Amino acid sequence: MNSEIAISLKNIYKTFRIRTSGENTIRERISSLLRLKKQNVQNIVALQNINIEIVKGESFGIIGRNGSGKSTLLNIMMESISPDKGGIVNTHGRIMRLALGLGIDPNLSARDNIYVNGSIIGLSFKQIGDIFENIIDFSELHDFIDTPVKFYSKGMKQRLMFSIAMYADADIFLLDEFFGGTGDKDFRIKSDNAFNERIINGKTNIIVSHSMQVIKKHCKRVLWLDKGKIIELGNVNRVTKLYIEDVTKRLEAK
Amino acid sequence: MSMLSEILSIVPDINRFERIWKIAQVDFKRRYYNDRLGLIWALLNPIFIVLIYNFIFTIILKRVSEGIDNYALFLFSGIIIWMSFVEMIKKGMRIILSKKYLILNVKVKKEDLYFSSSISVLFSLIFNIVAFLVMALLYGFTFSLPILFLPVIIINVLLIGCGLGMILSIIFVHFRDFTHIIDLITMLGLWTSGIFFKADLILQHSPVIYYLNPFVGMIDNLRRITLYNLPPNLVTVNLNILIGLIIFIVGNVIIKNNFQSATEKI
Repeated sequence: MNSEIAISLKNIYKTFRIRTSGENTIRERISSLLRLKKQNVQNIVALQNINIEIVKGESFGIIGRNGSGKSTLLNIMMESISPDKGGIVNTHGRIMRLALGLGIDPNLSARDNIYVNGSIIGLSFKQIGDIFENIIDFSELHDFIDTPVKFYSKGMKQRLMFSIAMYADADIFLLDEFFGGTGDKDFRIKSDNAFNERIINGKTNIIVSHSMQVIKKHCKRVLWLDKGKIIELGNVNRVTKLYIEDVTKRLEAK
Repeated sequence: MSMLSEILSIVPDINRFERIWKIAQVDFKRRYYNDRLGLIWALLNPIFIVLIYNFIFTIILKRVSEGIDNYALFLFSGIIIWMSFVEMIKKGMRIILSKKYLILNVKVKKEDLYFSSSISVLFSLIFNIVAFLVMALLYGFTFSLPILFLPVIIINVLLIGCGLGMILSIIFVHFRDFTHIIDLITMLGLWTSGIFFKADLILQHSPVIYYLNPFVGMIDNLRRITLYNLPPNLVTVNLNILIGLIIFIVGNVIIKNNFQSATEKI
């Protein structure tokens, strides 16, 4: 009954072609042509044979070491980069990626950032106008609505980003090390509650984190990636336990 | 259900127009409202350039402006079209960099980013054209029916600038020093677009440039409908619209196939 698919990835491979010699400039290309040097192209396999289906309303965790392909996988879900030939990405609903600092243009005011972000995920101006007050109330940035964000403190920026996410009403959130509980104590309690209420409950979430605490708290199902391959996929307790065992084994080996 | 969605797909996507409009507006704001003089800069820039060239060509190299009445206005009409075009392609070229924060954060239609960017330049072009018309009125010019043709010229600039911006943005990702080449090309364009002399002169000396550089015709037509009260030259109009459409379509196809792989490289 409750098994509508929010994101399905089929047969996803991703190879990056990286030229190890020099930059992307005409000068470089010509000089490498004249020297008749073979171009050093390196293929880096970022993802291999990824097949997952994420159900509507699910909180899905992704864990793995740095460079294991977590961010690449999120980029593919966003469709900001494309998988190799044959891979199929299907997403249903408005999708928004939450990571600190992403999605905010520092040269724009809070007002413009809210409108641009809201508009791009598919809200009409009227809808944005309806939630605008809520966003400003929540972020407590009343006095700085028309100040360019570059003059904001780090805490204020986090509050703005967080508040946009709270009310933007996307269907799918990709949380890239982004959690409730930013700012001072008052705001932290408020944002923690809102985060659980508005994002974790009822929305589809893909949570990427290095913190097993966070993963265990929010997710039922977890994907463990290593060097672009799925190592384990399944119940949160089982996978995180295996992952932690693996990490300690590595540490002991050193 | 299927009928409903069919009907809905005919209705233009209002949200999409709003979105393109908003990003254009925000871009424009960022360009002109961040400093005190604001929008005045949009006007001062071409006026200074006109003053410089006017000085050169009416006092030092008099022969260039011989036979052209109101040379300053003549220059102004060409300069504003050309400068808007250059700004459009330069902004378009860097779009993957400048809009990266959106591309990675929300699912955005890539063409919309280019439309918005070009439209934001269009705001200042229209502002300049209005200033130009006001100046022409002050000089004692009067306009009649041919002036209605103005939107076609503006749309033509938009088609070429937006399409070329799309193409350049992909090239830029692969060749970061392409900016130097663009500087050379825009310099070449400045002297071959009939900004400083009449289009007839170009037709006499080099018909190839006259027909292949759409700006010769576009600038000439802008002058015909405003300064000379003549109907536009239909040969160049049709040719330029055709060139504009081809560039725009090629740009769209290139974006469709290369945008994602380009974002990977940024």
